[in-house]
Amino acid sequence: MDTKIQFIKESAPHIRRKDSLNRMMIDVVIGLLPVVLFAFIAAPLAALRNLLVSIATMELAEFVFVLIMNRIPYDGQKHTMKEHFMNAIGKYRLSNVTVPLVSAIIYALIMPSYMEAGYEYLMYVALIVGAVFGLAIGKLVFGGTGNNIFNPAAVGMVFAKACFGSHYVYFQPFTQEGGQIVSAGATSLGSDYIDIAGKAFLSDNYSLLDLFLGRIPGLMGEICKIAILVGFIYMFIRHTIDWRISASYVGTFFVMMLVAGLIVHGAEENINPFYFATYHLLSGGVLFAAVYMATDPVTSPITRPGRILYGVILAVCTSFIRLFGSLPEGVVYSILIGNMLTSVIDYPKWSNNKFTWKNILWPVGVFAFFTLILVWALCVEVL
Amino acid sequence: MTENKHRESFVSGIIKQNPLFISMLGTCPALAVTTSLESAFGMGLLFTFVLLCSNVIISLLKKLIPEVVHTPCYIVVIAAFVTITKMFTEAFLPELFATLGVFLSLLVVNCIVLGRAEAFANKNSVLDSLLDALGNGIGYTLAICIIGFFREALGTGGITIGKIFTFIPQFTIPLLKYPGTQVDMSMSVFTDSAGGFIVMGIALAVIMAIENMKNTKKKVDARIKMQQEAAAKKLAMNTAAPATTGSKKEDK
Amino acid sequence: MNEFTKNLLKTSSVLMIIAGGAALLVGATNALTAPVIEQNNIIKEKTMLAKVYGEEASYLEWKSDSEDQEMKANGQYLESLTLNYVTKVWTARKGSENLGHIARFYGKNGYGDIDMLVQVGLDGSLGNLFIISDTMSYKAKLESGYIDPYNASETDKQAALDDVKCGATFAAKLVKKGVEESLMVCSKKYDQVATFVTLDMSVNQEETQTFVYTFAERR
Repeated sequence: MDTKIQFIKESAPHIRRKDSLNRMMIDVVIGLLPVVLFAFIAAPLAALRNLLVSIATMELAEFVFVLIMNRIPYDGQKHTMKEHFMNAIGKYRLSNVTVPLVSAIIYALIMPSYMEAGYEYLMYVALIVGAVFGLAIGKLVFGGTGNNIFNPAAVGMVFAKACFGSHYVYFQPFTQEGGQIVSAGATSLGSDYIDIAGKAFLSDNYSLLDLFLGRIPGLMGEICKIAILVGFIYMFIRHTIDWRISASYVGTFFVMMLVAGLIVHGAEENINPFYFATYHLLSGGVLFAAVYMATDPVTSPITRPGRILYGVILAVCTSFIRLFGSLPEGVVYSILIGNMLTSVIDYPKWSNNKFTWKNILWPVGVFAFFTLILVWALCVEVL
Repeated sequence: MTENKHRESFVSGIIKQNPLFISMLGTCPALAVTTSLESAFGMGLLFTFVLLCSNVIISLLKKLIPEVVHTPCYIVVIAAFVTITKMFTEAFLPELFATLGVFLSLLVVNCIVLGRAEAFANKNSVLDSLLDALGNGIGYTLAICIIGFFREALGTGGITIGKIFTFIPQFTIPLLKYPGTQVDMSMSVFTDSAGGFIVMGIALAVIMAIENMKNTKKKVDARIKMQQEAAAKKLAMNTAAPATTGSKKEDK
Repeated sequence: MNEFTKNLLKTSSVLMIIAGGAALLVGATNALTAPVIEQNNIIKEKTMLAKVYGEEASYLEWKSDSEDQEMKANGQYLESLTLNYVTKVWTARKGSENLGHIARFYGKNGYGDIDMLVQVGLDGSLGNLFIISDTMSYKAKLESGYIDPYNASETDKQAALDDVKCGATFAAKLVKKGVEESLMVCSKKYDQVATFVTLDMSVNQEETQTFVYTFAERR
């Protein structure tokens, strides 16, 4: 018997199609194109600078990583640098180009557009530092593509914000003014708020249509919801992303905000709960994260019921940070928390791909439990 | 022989058996007081003093303390020395005391102090214990000064000397932040605890990489040497066999 | 004496010797250093207060059970209340005349904490503000954006206090609340409810919770 069973080690995503990884990444890039287009229309110089710097930095970081990992191992003889280099170049693949490209575009779209006056050079520093940190420590030290726990764009953005966040300025497109200097992050939630029943949830300056089309201050990637929807439809048709994650995230978030809106309506009569929920859905990075960042195939669960649970967890974290935390914008942090829990959701001992009663009960149970806590806490504060 | 042992116990604490990076002990102060280079250096100094005194006293009393109650005795001795260190610091170096705060009291249960007492001082002579304490203290100070240097340089933009040891006139070496101009590239995450974990993780990764490279080199060298010896032995056997038959023929 | 008793006596005597030795050491050090520490504390407090009224004045602290009859007659003592922010109050005196009061308050919100000195005149008018804590997360922004312009405005301090427009809005609101409470304590107008602050000092005081207060407090 000469046949040997071969075990080929493959990394996530595990999809059986020819050249599936590159095809998927190129599809995501095409799906990001509407948002990139909007960014170019709204703030051309800032978008160009962000994209160029982050793509260049992340590709360079990945290239250096390939060089280091594929040098000739020590075998007692001296090798020249050229031999190491040639050996590493032979192992450089197309996926080493496309995967950082996706991360770089997402990262460029969620970084701010301007810095405080007098600190413009800091924008380049922030972009480079965040990109290197996000790629190197968010992905490469774990083993490269397919082995990372956290979304590298999210890690990079959070690090850059923690380092240089006190100088950030968010722009408002289609207007002449530069923007507002903020100290704790700014979306349409953080600026001129209405104090209704003690909570500053809504702003009177922007109508829902403004939020939908993107005429609000915020990050370049997240403000134009139409572009995000177009991208989602494209990626959904091509079966690049799993609609379950986005649907459960958006749906659960909407329902939880509806419940919160009902309670706020009980305290202050002239807020429509549906308006409240839609406002929260359309402001901040919820839609952008739901379509592009949460559906990242490496950092989200594999099993279908697991994906629904993942969406519920993300929605719970986001709504809690929005309602009870001192940050006006909590989507990226909830993505990182969800990424941490992906391995637990996917643990082979208790996860499978079928929709059994236990698998369905988990998302529903988590949702119900946290909604009850939300109702109780909100009632205590508001009523 | 004893000369070697003295030198060995002193040198091993500095790099080869560095208490923070190799034995991974005492990481709590290493993350908390390293927000500036000066406070890290001050902590290292006080730590060395406590370690020195406790090692010497415990080594002196090692025949006297019965085995069953050795832990409370060690703790009492160490606590006494930490208390007098605290009092002297509060009196003569008040800024250092205010910066270190509760971590000075935590030296009582610092793993390195107790560990050195249990592992070394109650078995070896006074001189060896003294040298070991000095070596470990220098190694720990070196380690937390490295972490403190990077955290302060990246976190506040420059190294400030003279804020805690006030007999030195205060001056700042600007690296990322130049006062008077608009150049300010300091990354404030490194002065928080998150930055402490990141810097310490990167430092540990570098140390482990160096260790791994040395180990691989040793293993590969040993393997190559074995192969070469085996090849040489084979060659010697092949050449020796015909030679013996030849000499036998000659004998005849 | 059998083996057990001898062992017992030996163990306990060793423990007593070590404890006694440690006690002697610590006691001796305490006798040596305690006066030095007390001197240091006095000098530190004096230097901190000298920022407000200068070096030559002497600062007398308001205590709730003051034996100083003169201070008691002047109303310079703390009544037994629960104060939200104010921790200590002093009166600055140069020679035999009072220069004014200094109140120190400490406040905390979701972003950090503040420790400040408020200079209050003898008639209850507002003076300058000084930050004394070094570990705030936004001290620089608060100082440059709110405190320095406030200190620089000579005429209308109350309007400058209300003019909150710096990069650290929540910190400035906390400062404002602390200043209002300091004013109240120094001028002993405990029944006056400021529009921006709710003090939980007496039972029959109406709680006027404004929405903005609730929001700022939660933030």
